Amino acid sequence: MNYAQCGLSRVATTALLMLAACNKPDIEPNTAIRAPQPLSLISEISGAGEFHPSGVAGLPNCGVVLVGAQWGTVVYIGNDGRSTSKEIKLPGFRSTTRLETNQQNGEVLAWSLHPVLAASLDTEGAGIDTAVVLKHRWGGSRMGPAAPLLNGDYAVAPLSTRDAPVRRPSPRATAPLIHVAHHDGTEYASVGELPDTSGLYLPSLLSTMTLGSYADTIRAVTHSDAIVRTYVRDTATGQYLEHSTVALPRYFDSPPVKERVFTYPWIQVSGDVTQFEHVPHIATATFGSEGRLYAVRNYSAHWLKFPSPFFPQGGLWVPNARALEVYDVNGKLLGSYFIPKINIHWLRADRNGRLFIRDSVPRILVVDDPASKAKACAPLPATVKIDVKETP
Amino acid sequence: MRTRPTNVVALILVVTFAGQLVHRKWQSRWLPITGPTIGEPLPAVEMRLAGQRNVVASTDEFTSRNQCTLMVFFRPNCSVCSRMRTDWRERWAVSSDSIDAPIRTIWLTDHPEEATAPFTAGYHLGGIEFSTMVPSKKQSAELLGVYGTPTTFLLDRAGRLRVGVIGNQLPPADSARAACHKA
Repeated sequence: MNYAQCGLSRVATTALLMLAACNKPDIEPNTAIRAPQPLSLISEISGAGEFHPSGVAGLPNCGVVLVGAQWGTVVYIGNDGRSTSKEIKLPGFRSTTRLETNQQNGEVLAWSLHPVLAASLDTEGAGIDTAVVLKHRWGGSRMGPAAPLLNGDYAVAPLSTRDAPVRRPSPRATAPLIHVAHHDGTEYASVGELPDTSGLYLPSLLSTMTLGSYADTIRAVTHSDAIVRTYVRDTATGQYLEHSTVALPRYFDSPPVKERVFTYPWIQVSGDVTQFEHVPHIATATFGSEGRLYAVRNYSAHWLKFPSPFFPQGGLWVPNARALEVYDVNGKLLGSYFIPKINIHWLRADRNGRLFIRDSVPRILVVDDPASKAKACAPLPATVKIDVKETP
Repeated sequence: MRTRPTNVVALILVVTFAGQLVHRKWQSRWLPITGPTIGEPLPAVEMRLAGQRNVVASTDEFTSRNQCTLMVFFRPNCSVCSRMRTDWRERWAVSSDSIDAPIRTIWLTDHPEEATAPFTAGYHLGGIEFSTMVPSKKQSAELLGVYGTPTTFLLDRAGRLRVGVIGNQLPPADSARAACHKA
């Protein structure tokens, strides 16, 4: 508790805390945390001009493919560090298109929320193959965290994006967590259910997850509770069945999750103003080869107050002390890592022992995957400039 | 005089209970949020058409033009507004396909014209009027009930607010027909 923020004495603050909740006490770790080891930087990839990478994937041939955030320009970087554009663009303007590597065959899936998109990228740079996005039972086509499967199939969790939690159409509406679809958009399996909780947005918020695939399984880790679930394909029926559940370590006691929803009387369409109180145990994650999980873990949090015209308790939880933890396919902690002065926004792992990390500035940092024995690629140059203009 | 433990406990309970009441009362009060009223004209806010510094119009003039109006409130640094700018025309054409009367379209911002120029460049064609508020300050936006961008208002032929929309969406087709058809 920061007593000085309230301008009150310790005793007075303790008394008033019960009455007015002037601030919220900090969330502290409840267990010992392994000291993280530093990761060493191999290369820094950034745009020479306005190219801001929105997605990245390592290719089997040691090249790297990136997609720009402005106009969806696809850029390939050879192992010599030279960047080339094949004049391929993914649809959308200022969209956030993510790239996911199929760890079995090296194919790349591109997905975005706005516009709703799923597409396979040709790793040779010859083209893209747009997949059909299935219709969701809550209405419309939705995309979310996705994972490529074999034969162009893909798994998707359409309601599971922290950045854009989806409003429940009715108080008791529920839906599967993960849908599995063919390339043509036909759904052939669905697994899991949204968390059984009240609230308009909380089921979607609490199902925020990262998806991956390994052999004939789909793997999902929910950020809120740090639980990894594995679903195995039943070869007879084609359905996916829940196979195992592993709870990763939790380093703090989560406060109760809350939502507050306010609507304007003069707005009839999508006018919810929302405030959430939520501290997920995982900030961001990705699955790598051999089923490994790379998760940026939150260790503590503090309440950041800011004035809001709508909510008396304007503010949000800000997680602290993050580190990258690597787990094997069974959930065993392999190591804990950090990069000095770098705040990891999101990351991707490839099959050649490289980690691609997007930090606060629009660049990609390439580091050696400390958990991978595959070191098939020569290191990229220390600095790679993408000399490609993003234009309509 | 010694204080009995039961009195202390009772005092704590009373203080806690009273505190909870005060806290709930405090939580439930809504800070004043202004905005327009459905079925009423917009509050009067002055605006300038882009590139015409001397021409000042006012939102309350919509009541006398006998023309329905689609007003999109944007900010030049709003990425959703940028996305909406690129494809709204096609989507609006679908919504307004069966409407037999012209619709005035205004994209309005509270940013100064200099800051807005990169956003509006190349989009002046097709009957869209880009406007900046006068004066360019936040209070005007709040007067119109715009707390996030893009916010879209559909005004009927009498200048009354029919539908408000937040985000990259447009008023539904049935609302557009009801607001804009000739009498």
